[in-house]
Amino acid sequence: MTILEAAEALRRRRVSSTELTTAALARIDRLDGTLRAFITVTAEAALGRARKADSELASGRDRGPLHGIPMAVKDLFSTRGVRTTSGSRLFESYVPDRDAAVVERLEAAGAVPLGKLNMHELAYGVTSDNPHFGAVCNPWNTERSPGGSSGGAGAAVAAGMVYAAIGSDTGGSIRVPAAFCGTVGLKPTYGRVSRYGALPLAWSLDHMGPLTRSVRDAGVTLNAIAGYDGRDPASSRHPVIDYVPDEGCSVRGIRIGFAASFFERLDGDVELCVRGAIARAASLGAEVKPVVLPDLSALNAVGRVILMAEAASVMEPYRGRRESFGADVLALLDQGRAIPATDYINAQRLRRAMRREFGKVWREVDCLVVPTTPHTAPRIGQTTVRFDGRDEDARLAATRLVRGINVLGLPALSMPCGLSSSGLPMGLQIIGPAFEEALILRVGAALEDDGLGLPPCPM
Amino acid sequence: MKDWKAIAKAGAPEIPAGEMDRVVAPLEALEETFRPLVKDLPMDLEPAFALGVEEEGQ
Repeated sequence: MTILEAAEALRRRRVSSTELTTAALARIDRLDGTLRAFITVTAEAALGRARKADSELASGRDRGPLHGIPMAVKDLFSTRGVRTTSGSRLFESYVPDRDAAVVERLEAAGAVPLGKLNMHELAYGVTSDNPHFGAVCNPWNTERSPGGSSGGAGAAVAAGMVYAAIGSDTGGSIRVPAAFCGTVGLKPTYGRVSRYGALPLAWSLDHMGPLTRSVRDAGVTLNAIAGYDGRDPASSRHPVIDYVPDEGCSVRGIRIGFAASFFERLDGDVELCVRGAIARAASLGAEVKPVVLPDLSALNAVGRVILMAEAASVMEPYRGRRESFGADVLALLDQGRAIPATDYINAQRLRRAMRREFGKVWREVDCLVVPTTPHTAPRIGQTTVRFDGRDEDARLAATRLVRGINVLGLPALSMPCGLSSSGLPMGLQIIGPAFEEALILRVGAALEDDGLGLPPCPM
Repeated sequence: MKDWKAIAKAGAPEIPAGEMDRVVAPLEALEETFRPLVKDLPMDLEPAFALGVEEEGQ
């Protein structure tokens, strides 16, 4: 059931929020020993919130489609009175005295928070193989990685533990787990969703957004969390609109860019699947046009320099606590400390030039449809993937098609587009101009309505 | 190519010798892509970060 279906059932009194929440908690109880999607489950508080939602709805107070819906947030969002670890030993006992902005907004929308989701340590990686809280497993195949860093969010949504989760994305951390776990994941435009109260990884690259079971649910969730927040220096005053695509929305006349550079060194199944989705969009009336984009590897290099330098700066107060970090995160922080100031500044200068260059593509097309990841979920612990007879670092491969979009700050939606021959989900990414979330959600919803997606997750 | 080992060591003497390769190898690989990009940047190209002075009431 999607959020919109559950919301309808709640309003028709076919089900109560207490029943939805009880069922979700039972599912967590049954599956989370295997999946390790949660770090903290707040069962009692959730049931209290669900009862409140039921009583509000019964008395005619309707906060909208998230009212009474069980959700969860990645454990880097501050939650008042609830431990917020950021997946790190550094913060294993940290109990914030205030809520993150997205947590406040979800509460105002009446959502029922079930707890805090496991993640890659400090959001700095794409495996969610957390050395302190355990490796998150992929519900489609528990020997496989869910991706990261919002791996608990991807696993929890895919396994039906929650209707939606909020993650963060600094170099693909919403879209990669969405693709590997077969969920929808939306990285909104930089500044669209407040970062207040979320542990930063890299200030100029961090984005917050939802992982959901359907494209429309991503729009519903974005409606609740988008908007200006003076506590976030990067927050935008760009007007918030209704992001939920209409029933029967169409892609007719939309110009979809086909960017060949995103189709290099791909798993054959992924290529076939994404090309099939583009052909499907064309059959629905979209105009598909080839476009030439700025060099993707250059964009990724710029993103990595910025990420490493900013993350090392964020974690500077903790540099004396080497024993508190996992090996992969520690190596990345050490690398970041070695980046000279001139390299960081030059990366930010290149970023401006690349944004300008990339912006020209929107004169030709309305959005791009490309793969989210070049391959399906690797095995837990797998360090390389092989394309065209050449090994590639698994972490760099997983982020190769997503990282650059954080550098540009553009909105991007990952949605499931089929299963590989080995039975693993594959994702496609719809990228749009700044603040055009409604457009990319419309394209995704039209494809979803036409049948693009996955069979139910076996777990 | 920069001497990343020396740079890393100078910036963080606490890095154990045994971990140095793990730190340096990715930096060397990254530099191969990054260095050519910055060779000819025009002087008037400013960095993409901005300070909104009004935000802090200044």
